[in-house]
Amino acid sequence: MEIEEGTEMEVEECRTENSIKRFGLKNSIQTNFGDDYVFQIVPKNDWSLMAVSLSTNAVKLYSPVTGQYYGECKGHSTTINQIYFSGPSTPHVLHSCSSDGTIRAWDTRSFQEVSSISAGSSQEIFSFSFGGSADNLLAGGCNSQILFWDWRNKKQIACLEESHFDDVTQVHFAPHHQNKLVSASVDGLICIVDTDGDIDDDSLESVMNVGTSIGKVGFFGETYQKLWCLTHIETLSIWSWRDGQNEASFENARSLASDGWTSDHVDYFIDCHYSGEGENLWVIGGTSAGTVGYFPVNYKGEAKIGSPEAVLGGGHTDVVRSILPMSSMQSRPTQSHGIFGWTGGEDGRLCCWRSDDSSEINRSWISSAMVIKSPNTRKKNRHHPY
Amino acid sequence: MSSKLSSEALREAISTICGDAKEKKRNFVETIELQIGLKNYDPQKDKRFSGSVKLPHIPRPKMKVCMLGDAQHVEQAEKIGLDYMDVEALKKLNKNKKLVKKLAKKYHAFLASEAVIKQIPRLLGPGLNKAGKFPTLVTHQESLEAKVNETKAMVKFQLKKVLCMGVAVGNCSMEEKQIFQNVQLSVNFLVSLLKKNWQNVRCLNLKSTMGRPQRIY
Repeated sequence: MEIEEGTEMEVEECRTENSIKRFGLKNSIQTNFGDDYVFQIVPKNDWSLMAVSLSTNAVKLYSPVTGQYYGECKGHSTTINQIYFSGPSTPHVLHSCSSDGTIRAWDTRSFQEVSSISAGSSQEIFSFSFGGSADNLLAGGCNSQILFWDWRNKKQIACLEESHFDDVTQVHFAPHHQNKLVSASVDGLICIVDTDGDIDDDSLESVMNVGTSIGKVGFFGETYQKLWCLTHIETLSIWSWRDGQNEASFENARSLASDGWTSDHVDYFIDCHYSGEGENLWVIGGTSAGTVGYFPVNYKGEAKIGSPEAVLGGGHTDVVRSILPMSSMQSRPTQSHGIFGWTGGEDGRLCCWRSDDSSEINRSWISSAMVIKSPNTRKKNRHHPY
Repeated sequence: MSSKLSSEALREAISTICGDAKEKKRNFVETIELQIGLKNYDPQKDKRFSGSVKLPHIPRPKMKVCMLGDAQHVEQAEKIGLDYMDVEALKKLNKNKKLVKKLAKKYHAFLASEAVIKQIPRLLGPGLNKAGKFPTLVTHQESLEAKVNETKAMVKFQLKKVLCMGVAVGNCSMEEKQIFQNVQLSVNFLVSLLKKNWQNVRCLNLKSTMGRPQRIY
């Protein structure tokens, strides 16, 4: 197999030309045979597993390299809102939070629930994060409250009820600043809370008013001092969270992204992508028909969204809800196995995208086999379809 | 995507609503609400339908706004007859929860200068957050009056567990043409956020506070 270059290199290469990198579909897996959606895809630390949350209220586990299905973690009684693999100290453990008011831990070797923390049955938990200066905190974003537990003894140590007045859709401890918690809510506010010492109303350090219901936020930049923010009305804004400053606002983000896309139109955003180096950010947008595009965000000086640099088409037939690029893997690019990444959507599919150049493929097929065929076999089939 | 909202049906509905409101005079100005019924949408699986939109014309005239300003903004606020408070006045509240709550109740919305907005958590605590009234930033590069009008023209929409919701789009003392524009813009904007656009819309009604719902789609 050829040695592929790192994926972020490929994306940057074509920025100067007007060519769009089209990633070909390597394989497509149907996660269920009903109308259920794929919500989120997260990798295990060593990338030997990827966990996929579904609207069936369960999490399925697959190999991110072969697509092989391993098993299912069942237990939540309603919508799973976030999943996340544990740190290197307990690598087999997967965490999930749900509208059933619990944050659960699962052993991915046995698919059994090993632990559960409850916020009470009347609370929904939309997001969770591990952190704190002493690495002992678990924060949960609920229906306006932010709850804090010491995960070592499962004791609830604080409840912030005043920072938000609507669902807290995101909580994240900041990279390099383990004591700072960033929370974002349907109420349109991003709050920074200092979790050192007693956590109470005085812990609220700063508030950024985005002005409309917030869906997702994420850190980027050399020292992760910047925050991108995607709202439910599909607008994007960039913030410097340390000083609470707004750096750029893209009110008509969908139109801006679509302007540079001759063949299609962005209907919604899925995520933002940071390569891990420098300060370059991409916003990932999709069409209702399931095509995905990576758009470079220019937030310094004139706020602009550039033409798509990469397009993933012919894989999904419905809204795409998550994307997992192999480039976020810390190891050497040669280990990405020629895979650009995975996407999951409302068609219930998991699509695997090839990182070698393949612009001829514009049709998808669903593989009933759970294992990806080797690239050589596939190439042969392409020329002899019958 | 062309709008499926018939201009004719909309004009007629607005005419009826305004006519009915004039006939039976109330001692308050009735709000006009756009009621949206959705279909083929699952609140548990589909993406959240929630946010704020700026309407072309201010729907609620009597919205009270307060400027939490630096020296320059305080001066401007005074000139345009806008209520204001400076940092000293905020300090006097001494982060007292009851006083902050009282302040929050007094106004529908707050604006704040850059220098002041950063101090709010320290000066007032999270009281304004809890009331849903954390201030919106106003810079010195923009007109204060324009910002006040922009704030007054923002309306929130949020679909919860059921498939219907209402959005304030006007009031009975507005010109029919203005109500028309507000409804058109909000409908087109909201439909653009739905995965199946018009296929997700079951029905649209317009209703004044005391009046009968008028179907427009």
